[in-house]
Amino acid sequence: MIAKRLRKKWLVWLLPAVMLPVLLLSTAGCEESVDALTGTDIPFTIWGFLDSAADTQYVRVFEVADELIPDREAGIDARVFSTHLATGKRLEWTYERVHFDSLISGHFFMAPFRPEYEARYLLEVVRSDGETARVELTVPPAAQFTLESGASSVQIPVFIDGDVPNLIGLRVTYHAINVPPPQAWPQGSPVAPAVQLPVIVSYDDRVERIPGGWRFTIDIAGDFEIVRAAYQINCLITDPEESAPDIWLRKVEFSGLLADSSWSPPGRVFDANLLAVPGTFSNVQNGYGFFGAGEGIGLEWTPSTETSLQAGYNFLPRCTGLTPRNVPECHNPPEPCVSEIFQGIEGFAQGKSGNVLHPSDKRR
Amino acid sequence: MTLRGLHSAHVRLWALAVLAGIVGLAPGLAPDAQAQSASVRGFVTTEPGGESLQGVNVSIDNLTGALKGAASNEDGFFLIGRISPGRYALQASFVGFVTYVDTLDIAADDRLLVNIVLREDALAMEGISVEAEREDGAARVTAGRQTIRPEDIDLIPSPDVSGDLVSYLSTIPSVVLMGDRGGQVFIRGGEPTQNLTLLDGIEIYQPFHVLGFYSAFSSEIVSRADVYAGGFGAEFSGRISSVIDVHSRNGNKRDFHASAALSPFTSAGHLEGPLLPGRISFLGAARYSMLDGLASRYVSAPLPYVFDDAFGKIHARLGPNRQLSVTGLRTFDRGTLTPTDDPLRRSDEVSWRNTALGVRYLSAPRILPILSEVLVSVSRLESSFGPRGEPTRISDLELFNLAVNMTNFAQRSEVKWGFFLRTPLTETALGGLFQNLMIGRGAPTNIGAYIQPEIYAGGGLYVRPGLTVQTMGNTGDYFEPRLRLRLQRGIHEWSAAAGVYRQVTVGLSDRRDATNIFTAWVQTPSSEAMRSMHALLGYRVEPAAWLECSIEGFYKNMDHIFIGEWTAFPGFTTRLQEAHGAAYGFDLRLEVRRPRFYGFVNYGLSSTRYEIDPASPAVNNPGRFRPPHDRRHQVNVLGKAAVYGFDISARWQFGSGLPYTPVSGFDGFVLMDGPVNVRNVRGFPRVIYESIPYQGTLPTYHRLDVTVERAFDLPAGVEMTIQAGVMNAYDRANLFTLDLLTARRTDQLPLVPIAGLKVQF
Repeated sequence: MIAKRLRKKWLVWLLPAVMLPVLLLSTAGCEESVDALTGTDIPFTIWGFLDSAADTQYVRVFEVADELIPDREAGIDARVFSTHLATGKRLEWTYERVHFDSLISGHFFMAPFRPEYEARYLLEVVRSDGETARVELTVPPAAQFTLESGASSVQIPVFIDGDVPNLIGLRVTYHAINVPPPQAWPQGSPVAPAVQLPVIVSYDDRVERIPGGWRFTIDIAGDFEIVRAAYQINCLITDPEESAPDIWLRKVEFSGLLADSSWSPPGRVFDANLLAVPGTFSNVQNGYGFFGAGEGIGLEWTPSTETSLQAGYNFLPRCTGLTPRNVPECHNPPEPCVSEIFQGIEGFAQGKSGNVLHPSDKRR
Repeated sequence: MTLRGLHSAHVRLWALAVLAGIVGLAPGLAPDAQAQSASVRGFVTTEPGGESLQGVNVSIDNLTGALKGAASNEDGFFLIGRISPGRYALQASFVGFVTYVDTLDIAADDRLLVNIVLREDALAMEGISVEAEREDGAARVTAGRQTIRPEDIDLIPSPDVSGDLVSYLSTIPSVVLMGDRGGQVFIRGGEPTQNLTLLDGIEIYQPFHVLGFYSAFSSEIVSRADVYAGGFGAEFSGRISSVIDVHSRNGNKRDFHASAALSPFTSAGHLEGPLLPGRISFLGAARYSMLDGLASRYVSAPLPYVFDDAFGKIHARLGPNRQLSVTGLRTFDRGTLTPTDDPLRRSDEVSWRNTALGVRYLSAPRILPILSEVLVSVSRLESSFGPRGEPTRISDLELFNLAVNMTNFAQRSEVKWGFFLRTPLTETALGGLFQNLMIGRGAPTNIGAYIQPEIYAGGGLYVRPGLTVQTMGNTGDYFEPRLRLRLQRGIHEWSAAAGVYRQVTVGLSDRRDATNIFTAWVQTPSSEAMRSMHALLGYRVEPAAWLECSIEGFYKNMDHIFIGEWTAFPGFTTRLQEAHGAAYGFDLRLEVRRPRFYGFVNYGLSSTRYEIDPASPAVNNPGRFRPPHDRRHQVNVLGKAAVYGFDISARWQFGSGLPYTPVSGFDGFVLMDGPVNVRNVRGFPRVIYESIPYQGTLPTYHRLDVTVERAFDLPAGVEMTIQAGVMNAYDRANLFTLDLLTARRTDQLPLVPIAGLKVQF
């Protein structure tokens, strides 16, 4: 009897304990709609910079929209003005639309003027209802840069003389040439093709501030290993014993930007993952994006034969476009270099961002 | 915890393995030094069929009231040791079978081998209810373990006459499926790739089909499945969330049987029979999706899925105390989870293929009270994602596994111990999916040993401590202590389990997009293997023979797991970040068993939180957040009744809304990393997410499935079963996924009428 009573007691407690949540939850299950888009009051996103080396200035403007790809034929409800804050001169920029592909079109505004060194400007992007995104910025002072491109050394010093607050986007591009192993040739190619693979090496983390300017040294010999690895990653060279061990350097290109002080991302790292987060790297009020000021610098030169050889490049590729077909090492496919791809990319994954290779692992 | 400060990993491990062996052998060897040194052992099988029978109570009685006994294990093996010389009555009983009785004259040092064949009881087969100890049932959960048998699976309404294990899994509280497609099963907060799925000891990496009603385990081939939602013992290792341990049937060793089934979703068939009557049998089963040909003709939603599977098993009794089985499995899946005509979202296909082959040798040597098992298996998973024929992401995983498992039997205890060697080989090309892990291969050798005594301490107390020691690739050596407890007093049972678990081969998925189920298998990018700690506490009561209730609370924490970084970067790619997390909750179950009615109600409450490690260089560390599989409330109600020869089955399921990340708007992104001429740069469309991911909650999910089934006996021993029913009976628009790029929703299956036919002999 007691056992029976106990069992009934259990039932009395357990049944409601189970059924009550069921009833409560079932009544909560009627909502069907979901609003994924919460909206925002921010009107525009702005990208560009005032280039004191150019006679025409451009800014790209995005509306903060409620669809990922707005109608490419649609215009934009925006007007752009720049104001020289010292003189008060206000200029309205001209609208231009550019179709990049079948999906994406860009809204650009341009103005034909050259920014004045050390002047302060206001850029405003105004919607018809008055909502405005604005940026205030100061153009950096003038500077001179020196690069001894004619020197025969593989170490080329670069100096920037001037009180420039920021130096960014320093890149050395190596334009090398090589005849790849046959498995990388285009289908049906009768002769060994020559391949160019520009390899960009970042120098952002090698620059040093000195009194009155900046300096750094382009290390062509050190960068050769990076270039070689890039070719190896792309299966364009193989082991020395195989068909295409050599790369020849055709030219070197340097570029950079003397930038204003706001052009400084967190940790001085231009990481697309990081900077794509709205507000992470932005100087725009009531808007997203970044609009800076600066002056582009650059130089392109052909290193001497001695410099190239000293850096590690080889003038005599074993297989060329004129190599006869009866040279087996140029036509028998070597061992697939897939494993080298794995090793190579694993090694460089830490430092790769976009198509720029970073020799150090300071970047994430 | 790790073994630091010692000299050689392998020396340490093998020393521990040997120690484990010695300790393991001890309970079995000790009796030989004593007077009571005789033993009786054997296998219990059924007649007809020759199937191994688990849970058979085998006892010997010397007619003076001194009773000794043992229950047969999953292979039907039993061993009764420490028997004094004399005459004994041996008895083996199991519900539904005629009790086996024999008389044994046992001399000192005898090691008798008695293989018992139990014949089906005709009376029981005619429906006379015989109550006996059950192991399975919706509420029968002991320290996270639930046993599922084909009869349980067939209770759940499904689009086929034959059920599927995944249908039953979806009724278990705190088991979350993302919907009726995708093949992703989350158990108590763990990721699908953290579940260890075994078929006859062979690891199957992605066994669930792309359409959520199906897996590689149809009820046609399943003998039993043990699901450990957590707190699993030392015999399982290498995964940190759960274990789904599926044992397949052996083919019939006396007669040939076959079946063929057709439904709008699949066609299936099976054939089994003796190769050498009484000794060797085979079982083959295959299934093929019919969505293109049948279901898509009348289901309004697109069904761009193809899947199939094939299973084969040969089982041989090599001698009275030796068995050998060879099991093979192949599955294939291909589908587009969110078909679209949007040019921005290509209808990328995900596909995967499992291939597995294993050999299992079981032996009960006469000289020792030991059951030994040697398992050698190879399993392979090939996955790809991208346009058909031109996949952009590929992940291959191949595993060789050698395991030796021993069970030593003693009077009131058993000791399981063994060692294993696993060599998972991963090759992955991710096409930029995880930007800091683009491409690679790995082969982290995994060597280890375990020991697990099982002690019946008296007074209804059962204790099973355990320890796994293993070295995992170059991440280190690990101690993984485990403990399982059970205390049974009358109608009450308390149970608890705890353990530390490690995993070195990890599956990576981009959880920002629930429809992107492509999983890349790699060796952990961390210097330390993923770790999880489990704690479970449960209570079960059977207040009446027809009623059973249970409640079980759980807590899991997870370290060194990897999740996709939350970034607004416009590519459909992400970077991995090391994270930790925790899941906790409880399950409440109530089960009713009446002669003509069966039903259960399950409720699960759970909470899962992830957090990117503060030291991790995350772009945007959102703090603690709900991952997209954090389903807070879950209810399953099942009822099955026999009415005028028809089996009517209905199941209602409810799940509270899953988290999602609301979007503020869209714009474009240009990387201003130098003197960028913006007029020449295309830029990327960008999604402006809210700063903390998964702050929104999707609508709740609920659905009613109903089936009616009737079996007909036809001449020549043929049985035909006809099924009709409806899935999603009240046509609830349940959301499957929300495309945050287009704010477009994709719903799960609408109301789907079904009809199925199965013929078997």
